Amino acid sequence: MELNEQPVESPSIRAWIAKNKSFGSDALSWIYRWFTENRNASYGLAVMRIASGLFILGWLLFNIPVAAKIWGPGSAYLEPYRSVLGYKWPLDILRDAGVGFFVFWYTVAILLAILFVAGWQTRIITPLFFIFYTAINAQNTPISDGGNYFIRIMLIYLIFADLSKRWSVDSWLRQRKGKKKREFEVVTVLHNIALCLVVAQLCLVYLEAGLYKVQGDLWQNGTAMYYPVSSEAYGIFPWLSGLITANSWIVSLITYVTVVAQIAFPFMLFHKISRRIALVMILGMHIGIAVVMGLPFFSGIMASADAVLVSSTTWIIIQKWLVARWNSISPFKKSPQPVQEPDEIADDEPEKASAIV
Amino acid sequence: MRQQKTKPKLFTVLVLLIAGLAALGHIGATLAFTGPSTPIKTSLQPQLNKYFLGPLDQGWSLFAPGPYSQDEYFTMRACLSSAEVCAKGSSGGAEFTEWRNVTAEEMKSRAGNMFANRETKQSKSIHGRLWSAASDLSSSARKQIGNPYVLGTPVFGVDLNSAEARKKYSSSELSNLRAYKRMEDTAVGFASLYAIEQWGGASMVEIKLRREPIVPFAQRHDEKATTKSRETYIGWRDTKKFDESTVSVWS
Repeated sequence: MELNEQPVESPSIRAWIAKNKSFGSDALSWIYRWFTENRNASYGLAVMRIASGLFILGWLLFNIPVAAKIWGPGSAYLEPYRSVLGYKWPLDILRDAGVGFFVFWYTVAILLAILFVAGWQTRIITPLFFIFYTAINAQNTPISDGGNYFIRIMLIYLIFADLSKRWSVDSWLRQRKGKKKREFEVVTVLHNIALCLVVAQLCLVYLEAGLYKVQGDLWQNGTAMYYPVSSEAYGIFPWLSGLITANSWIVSLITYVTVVAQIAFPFMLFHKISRRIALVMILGMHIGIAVVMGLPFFSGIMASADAVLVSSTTWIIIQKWLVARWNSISPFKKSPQPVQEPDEIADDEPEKASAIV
Repeated sequence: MRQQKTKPKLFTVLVLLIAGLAALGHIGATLAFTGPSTPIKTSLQPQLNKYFLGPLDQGWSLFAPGPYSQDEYFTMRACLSSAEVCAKGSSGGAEFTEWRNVTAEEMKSRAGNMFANRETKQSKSIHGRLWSAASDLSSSARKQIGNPYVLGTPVFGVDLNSAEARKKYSSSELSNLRAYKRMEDTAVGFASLYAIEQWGGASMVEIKLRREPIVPFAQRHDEKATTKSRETYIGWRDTKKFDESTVSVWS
């Protein structure tokens, strides 16, 4: 056996620094390009816009029969509370409103929700939608749930994002006219910062929810999940609650998986495999909360924001699959049409397509 | 990382820097505001409250550290006679209603219904806030809230915004009493409107908040297992008056 006599350079910090002299400038250049070249996660944000808009629209429609009582003039009993914890103008506009003005405001909020879902003039519609939705919510914050709080904050961030780049009336109109959208660099920067805020807020919510849980005795001993689903307020299907909580193993597993999924969520976003696992776990948790605890609005709103973490490539695959399914069952069969906009591929290289992906 | 050279534009860099720093500061402040009490959070108060209390208000200790583990009920009854007759009690001819469990009535439409409207949360949300405000009171103040304060007599026997109240209580005590009074006024207002809805109106209301803990996990299969309920009692109060538009949606 011969010894390899080639000189081997021992690893040293000095050698690494010499080799990566331009690391700092390259990193800054990469950050600059990430924020200025593309409006990232355009498909994820489109899904978030459509899904969260539909949830708010459903929430407004389901509450029509009681709206004047709980948010309109009927909520005047909350005035002592609102006098200290109420919002400032223009979000307090409904505080002294009569039935007529409240009904007008509520109707406009529903119309804005429809336009938001459709993606028409979102630069104007999004701030208006935020004001109209929040002013209703501000009338009676005690009956809000986490979903109301979350989407109100998200709408503030989304004001700065380009929400109508994909799957919107605006993009459809542009495509029809054969126009390409002019994208100003500074506006692209604000879009990407808004996207970072959405992702940061999501991570913060899950991480804190998990960290608060590990401090609780019942979460530590693995029985916490049993209690809310056994209450009248959150156990809306007692037979289902009874079924889930009958076996102590199931109770402990659900309790622990909830805590682990929430705490691990931000850290699992760094790799595409772990990110997919995190999204599946969190989606499962939301479906469970929606059905077993009767909180579909809260779960739906949270899950809709998770959409920005799914890559544009995945959303395009889903779109193609849905179009193919539709064509196979639709009685009005058309010749296959492209499902992407002409500028789409160039703009949305998979590695650039979303914030994290 | 690609080695592509891009010549940055000064205005874009400035926007990126300013907006980026603002975003980082906002997320950092959100962490401080929503996180547990730390020296950082304490040193940033009251600025954190000023910034967040409003449309940015939030809290993410969802079902934690202790999960929701009790049924909470807002119960009440009313006196339907005039205030003067009510003040004399049943021996003076006052007409009282039976006790009503408002929360249980609201919950009926939630049972088996994922898409119940938010009316089902009204009395429960008042219960939660009033209970915790009452818990912050001193033991003597807690005893006092069970007394009747009617015919214009202020709760605790003193206007909490007066110089007399400032003399009588320390500032922290007064702050707790005012916070409680705000929630009590909200609860009495709600009970007054409920009385309009149910009986066409009342001159006085009496409120009891009841908490019934869920049977402990280990005893969940024991059908005979019971738990001890707790109550916060708020004595008779004059009903609140509301304008026509409010009354019209409750009638």
